[in-house]
Amino acid sequence: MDALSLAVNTGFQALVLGMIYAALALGYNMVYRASKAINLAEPELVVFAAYIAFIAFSWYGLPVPVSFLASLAAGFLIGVVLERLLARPLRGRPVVALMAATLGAYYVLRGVSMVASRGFEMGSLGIPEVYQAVGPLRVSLSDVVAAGLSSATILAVIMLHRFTRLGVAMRAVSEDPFGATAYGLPVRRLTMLSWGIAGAVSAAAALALAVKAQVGPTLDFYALKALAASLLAGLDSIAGVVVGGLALGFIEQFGSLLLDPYMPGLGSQLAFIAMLIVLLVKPYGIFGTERIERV
Amino acid sequence: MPPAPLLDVNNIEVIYHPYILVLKGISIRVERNTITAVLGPNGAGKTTLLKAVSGLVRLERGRVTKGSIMFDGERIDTREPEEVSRRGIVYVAEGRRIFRELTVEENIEAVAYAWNTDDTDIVYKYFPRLKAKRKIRAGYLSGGEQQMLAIGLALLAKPKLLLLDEPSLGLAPRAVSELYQNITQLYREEKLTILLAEQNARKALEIADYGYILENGRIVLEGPAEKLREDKDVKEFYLGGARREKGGYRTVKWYRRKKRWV
Ligand SMILES: Nc1ncnc2c1ncn2[C@@H]1O[C@H](COP(=O)(O)OP(=O)(O)OP(=O)(O)O)[C@@H](O)[C@H]1O
Ligand SMILES: [Mg+2]
Repeated sequence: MDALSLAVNTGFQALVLGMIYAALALGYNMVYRASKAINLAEPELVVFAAYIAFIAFSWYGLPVPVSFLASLAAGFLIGVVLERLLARPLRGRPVVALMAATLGAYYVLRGVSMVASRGFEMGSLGIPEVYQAVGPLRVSLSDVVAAGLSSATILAVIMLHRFTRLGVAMRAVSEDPFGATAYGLPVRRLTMLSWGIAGAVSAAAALALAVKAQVGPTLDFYALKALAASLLAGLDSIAGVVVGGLALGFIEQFGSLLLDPYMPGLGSQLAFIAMLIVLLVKPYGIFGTERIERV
Repeated sequence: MPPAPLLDVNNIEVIYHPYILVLKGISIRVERNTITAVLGPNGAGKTTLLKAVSGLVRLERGRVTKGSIMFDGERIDTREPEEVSRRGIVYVAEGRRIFRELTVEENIEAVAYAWNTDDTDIVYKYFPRLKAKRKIRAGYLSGGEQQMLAIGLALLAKPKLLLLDEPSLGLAPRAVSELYQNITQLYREEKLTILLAEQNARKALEIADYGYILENGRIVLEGPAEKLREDKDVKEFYLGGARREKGGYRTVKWYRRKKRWV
């Protein structure tokens, strides 16, 4: 490959991966805005959701779209359950308590998905391997599905928040749960819904990821990197997590391209290095608003 | 027997976590279609009283430990705040607590969602100034406009009982007058029942039917508003009458500390 097509293709892959990271980061963002905590169960929720789609498709022979829907529904359900079992009873307590509880949920989900998958390691979600050349660019069907799925998810959440009463009410609750209660908003129901949608968003991102990288227990690592991306940009802004996700995609792809010849694997660690630097300089992230944590 | 009042607060005690006793046996009654004022200095417990009625004390680790609160014939002090508001009690908090990140219109949409109403024009009907600002983030409104929005949002709920917590706080005298005119107008036209907490006793007693004076978690005086306006002690300590250099009345102490006065 010549330098131009290398740059174009790396840029395109960075974009696809960046959108997936952005969707993963959006999952953290929604939980953060609802409960002011980081959902440490999300990385394993991602693995779990990918397994659901895989099992539905390859064991039960369901059509690909149906298996995807099953995965989204499972993600939503897990989000709702996490809210009911963890976030609601811990409301008003220090956020550390909720984060510790989500870490516990991470291991529970991990255990369940290990048992449910009966030890299988890798699998594909049944997207055919077809390619199309556009000038110097090589686009595969899985690129299109992954990028389409993650950007559609992000767009849907933005539209919900901007253009529907429900979404606006969710934003009001996230800004001031006390005031929202005083005005009669169903704060508990909306908080639960935020967690549910966050779960479905994580599942959509998991599907996009699985289409690109295959289903397997190591998908959680991507979600962890997306957490770095969302911290990088500031957890409380949607625009922030999208930019953060895209930035991560580009840093990683071009970082690997340039650095891997010297130090294999360094590129994929760049996210954490970047996060470390940003958090040292701007603890609330690049786009985040400074605020005092509620305890 | 006279008909039961809409709100009947019966000898309540409120404790904040862990053992901060704030209300020490308070009884008030709010009759239908009246304005009842609760007056008193900083820290008297006015806000706590309104939060106890709306159930919101629970969100701040407070609880009603004695007595009872009856609303429309039902006991509400044992209920969650979300249930209390479902019954038609809306609390407009002190300090103009609107959703600052949202635009005026979005503030209205969010509360309209809660009450499943499309009659959002009621806010602009009473506060027409907000209409021109509908696309502006509420955090950028003037203080008076923010307070108008805060009260306007409550109207979307068609409240049976409206709790107003120091609407005059931090507003210039002219803005206070305008706001009080608005409140009087919507009280009449919407046939509301209002429980109003204020430090601004003069303004509150202008529009109230009945008043309670709260000090240090206890009611020290109560009566019809016109009586309170004429009362010697009230005039002296709450309506900014003749100042006494050394008074036996303990209220003199806080009187001097107060930042703004009528
Ligand atoms: N969440 C809380 N936890 C502990 N103590 C509280 C809490 N909220 C209020 N208090 C205390 O209760 C007392 C009464 O406060 P409250 O806010 O009800 O007074 P207020 O009459 O509304 O005063 P202001 O006119 O300043 O608004 C104060 O001494 C205050 O410190
Ligand atoms: Mg107060």
